Amino acid sequence: MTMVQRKRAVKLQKTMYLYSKFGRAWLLMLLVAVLQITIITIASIAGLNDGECMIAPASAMFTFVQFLVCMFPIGVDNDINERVTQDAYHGSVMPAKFMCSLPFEARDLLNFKIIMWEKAAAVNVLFVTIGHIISLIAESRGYMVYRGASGLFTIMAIITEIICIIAFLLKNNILSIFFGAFIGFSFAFACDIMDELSDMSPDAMSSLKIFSGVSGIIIYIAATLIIAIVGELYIKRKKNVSWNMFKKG
Amino acid sequence: MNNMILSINGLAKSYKDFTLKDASFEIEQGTVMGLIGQNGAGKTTIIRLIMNMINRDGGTVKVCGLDNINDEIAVKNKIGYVSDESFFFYATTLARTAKACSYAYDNWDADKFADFLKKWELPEKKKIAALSKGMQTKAMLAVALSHNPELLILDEPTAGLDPVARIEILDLLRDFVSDGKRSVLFSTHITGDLDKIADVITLIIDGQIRESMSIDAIEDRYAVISGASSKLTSENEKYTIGLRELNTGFESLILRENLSKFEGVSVKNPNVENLLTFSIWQNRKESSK
Repeated sequence: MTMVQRKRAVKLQKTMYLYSKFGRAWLLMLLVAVLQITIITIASIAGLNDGECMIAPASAMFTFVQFLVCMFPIGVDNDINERVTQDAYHGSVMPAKFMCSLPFEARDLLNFKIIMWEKAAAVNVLFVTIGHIISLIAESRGYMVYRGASGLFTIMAIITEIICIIAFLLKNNILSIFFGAFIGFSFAFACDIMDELSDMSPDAMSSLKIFSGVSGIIIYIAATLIIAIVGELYIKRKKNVSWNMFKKG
Repeated sequence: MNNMILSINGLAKSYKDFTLKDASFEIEQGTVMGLIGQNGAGKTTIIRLIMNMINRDGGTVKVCGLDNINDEIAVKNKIGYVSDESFFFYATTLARTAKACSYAYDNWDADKFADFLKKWELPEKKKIAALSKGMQTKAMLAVALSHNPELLILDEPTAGLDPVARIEILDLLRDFVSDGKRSVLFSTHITGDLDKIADVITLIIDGQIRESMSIDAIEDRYAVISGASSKLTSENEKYTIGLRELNTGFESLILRENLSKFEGVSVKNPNVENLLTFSIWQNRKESSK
């Protein structure tokens, strides 16, 4: 996306934010982020009572929520060419005639969706990182922390989403999700094992550490895939869009 | 030609039960074009194709020399669009809509919009759902005019309006084109409105453009004749366009050049409604054969 395209997408975002509920999705995303950090805080406090900080599992459970919020505005239509997107644009939840009469083009909508995704990824990573920092502080004060899982999620969120966005830009949809998830999962899993190896001890909790990390990743990937597929099916049904996994725009 | 605001050439669009075929016409600067045709003739389809609201199957649309798809943003900055029904988000207000438009349009004139609201007594803070149909149409016009468009496209804007509101809108359209640089494409069923303000009429029947001519040319080219049934013979009937046979006689549109074929009939100048209705009847007659 060029800077000019980005400016136009931001312009569309401003228009849509003022005009439609759909455009306010990013506000909802922030609200979810607030909810997320609230839960992290509650979980942390609850954990501290037992001398343990449960930050990692708590953040792991909720990092995928931003995807839930943002996948529908994104529309999961990376593989759809502009012409078809235009149909989706015309058939969207907004008053289509009015939006179509405004000086925007279908490509602006696609770019706007990318921006939404970027925001989702940024908020996602930000809050996982905050969780990670909190866990480090807790650890420095002598609490036992599932640091491996927290750091792991930070890395995984970054990698998965960056790769998804790159693939998105290349207009390849389901492939991008699989690819991003696969890379993210592999890398994160490798980090988790390395983390566990470096911290190898007869600690009875180590299997739980791995479990919390891996189960979080699985939840994350499963949620992403489910949302992607449901979103795709939704578009196919509602917007008469062909479901072609590798279609180039 | 350089002074063309809108040039449509070979425009085509197919639906399951309707086809727009090879539509071509042009609008010069400073003119009001009336787009007429029966329900389902293709008027709204043409307007939606100009606005790139639907994907075209063929042809080109140029607004001020710019392609409406390749230069979509520039073109839409030059077009003010008023739909046949209110297209605003009902749950919002005109103030919010204006704010959204100010982000979207390059030339949005907030003062001008405020002037329209004041002039038409449109409540800025009231939800659009609570406005009457007339107010909603005026609100669409206010939005359409407040970004200083060069082409105003109106899809049945006066339908359902009271006479005062209709006359006010027609006055506004007249003012709009008075500088000789801007134009209006006006689709309507209320042909009386076109008699008042249109310079050019484009007639579309069953997805095909039948005529595109100046309003003066209607009188120059056609005549409406009426007379006793005895004046209608098998010889001259073929020159009729949309023949209406009544108990009292007949009435028909004919080409003025064929007037000599009819003797003892009364002749009057046709208006836009005559052109529309007789053309539709002629089409029905041809279709039933």
